[in-house]
Amino acid sequence: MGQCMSMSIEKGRISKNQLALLIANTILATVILYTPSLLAKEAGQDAWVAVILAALVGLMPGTLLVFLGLRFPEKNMVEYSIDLLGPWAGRLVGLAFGLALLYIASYVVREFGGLLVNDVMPETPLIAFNLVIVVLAAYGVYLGLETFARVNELIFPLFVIILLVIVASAVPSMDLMQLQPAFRHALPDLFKGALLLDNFYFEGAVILMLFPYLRHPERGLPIIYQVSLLLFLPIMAVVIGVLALFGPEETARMVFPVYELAKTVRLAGFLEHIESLVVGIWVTTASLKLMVLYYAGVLILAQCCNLKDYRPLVVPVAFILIALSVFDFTSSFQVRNFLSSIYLLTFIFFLGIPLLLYLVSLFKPSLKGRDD
Amino acid sequence: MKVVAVILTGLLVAFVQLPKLAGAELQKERWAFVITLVLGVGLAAAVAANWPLPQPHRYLEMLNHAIIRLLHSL
Repeated sequence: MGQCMSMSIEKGRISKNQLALLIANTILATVILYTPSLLAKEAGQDAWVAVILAALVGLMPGTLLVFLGLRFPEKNMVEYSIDLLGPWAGRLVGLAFGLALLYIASYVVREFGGLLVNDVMPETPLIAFNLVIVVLAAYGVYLGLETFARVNELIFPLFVIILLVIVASAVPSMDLMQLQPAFRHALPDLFKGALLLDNFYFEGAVILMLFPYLRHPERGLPIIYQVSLLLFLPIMAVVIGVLALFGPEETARMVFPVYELAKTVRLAGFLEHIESLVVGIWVTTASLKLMVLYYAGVLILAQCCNLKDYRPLVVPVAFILIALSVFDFTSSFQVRNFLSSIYLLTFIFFLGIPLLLYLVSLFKPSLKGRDD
Repeated sequence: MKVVAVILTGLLVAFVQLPKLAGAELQKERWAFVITLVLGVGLAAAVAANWPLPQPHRYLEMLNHAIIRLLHSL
């Protein structure tokens, strides 16, 4: 068909661990900021149960994504959707997926600016922060997958360690009785909380665009378990920490509970205001998350237009991201509300599209692994 | 003033990038670049000029609710 161009577009190759860390960072960067309050709103003091349910439920779509990737180890999602659905429908599906990723990228930019304007530098205009992060991400995307995968390999472990240290530092002020009475919420509430969290997990569907750039894509199956483990511990620690510190009602009212948690830390009577550390690590991880989404988005656009290189689209798309991040949401609270209500569409884009492709691939077995 | 700044930035980007895409084999890349740049700069200029643009998240929320209603009716 002549559409197999990923080899010429992306030359870099990444390892299995680098991909697992990239996906984990893509999910965790937003989850850590917003979900403790969203979960507390839905499941109260039982939010930690919702985290366990989300991890179990999330494994199924995660496995589907990896299985789909394994069926076409040499191709990315746009290439095999063209093979499976034909050039027009395949491109349309690819484009929908790419636009969804770029839209998520735009509200990551908004979240970034929102946190900094609300809690750190209230007198600086939002556009200044949004501009800085998009320019940084554009530079990373321009350099290519291998570059930001390596940076992420260094940053992500540091992010998790610092996060766990911050939560551990707040332990003296915590009251685990705030998690009592346990199992008070009905199963549907807990599942609603779990689905909210899975809504963010589904952003990991970006893996479909990165899978063929693994050094050994055929050995990619363990990635799903690596990502699940990498996500479970920090999310659980943060959710329990925030609930035990503030209680479910107060947590549900907050926009950025982790930031509030860090504000309460006071170590050895002199070490305080470590919330700047939270901002520091979050700025880095949000940039890397933005790079992944931005990269996958422009790669999809380039492939849908049959281009030889995605780089000509990087700077123009930066204008769109900045503009969208400024006018789409008027406050961080609006972003939070949007994230708590939009899960059905996320399911359609990030679970429905891969599921459709997987089912079609089962009926067209002759296409499996076919090399154009 | 902001609108002028946005348009000037767009022109600067075009001035830097277009010569790199001048080859005949990069015809498609050049057009894709120009079209996305015009879209991006136009959108950014409209935001800078405080035009009342529709907020995409509202439409997505409406679509989400419509799907939920549809599922309930089934």
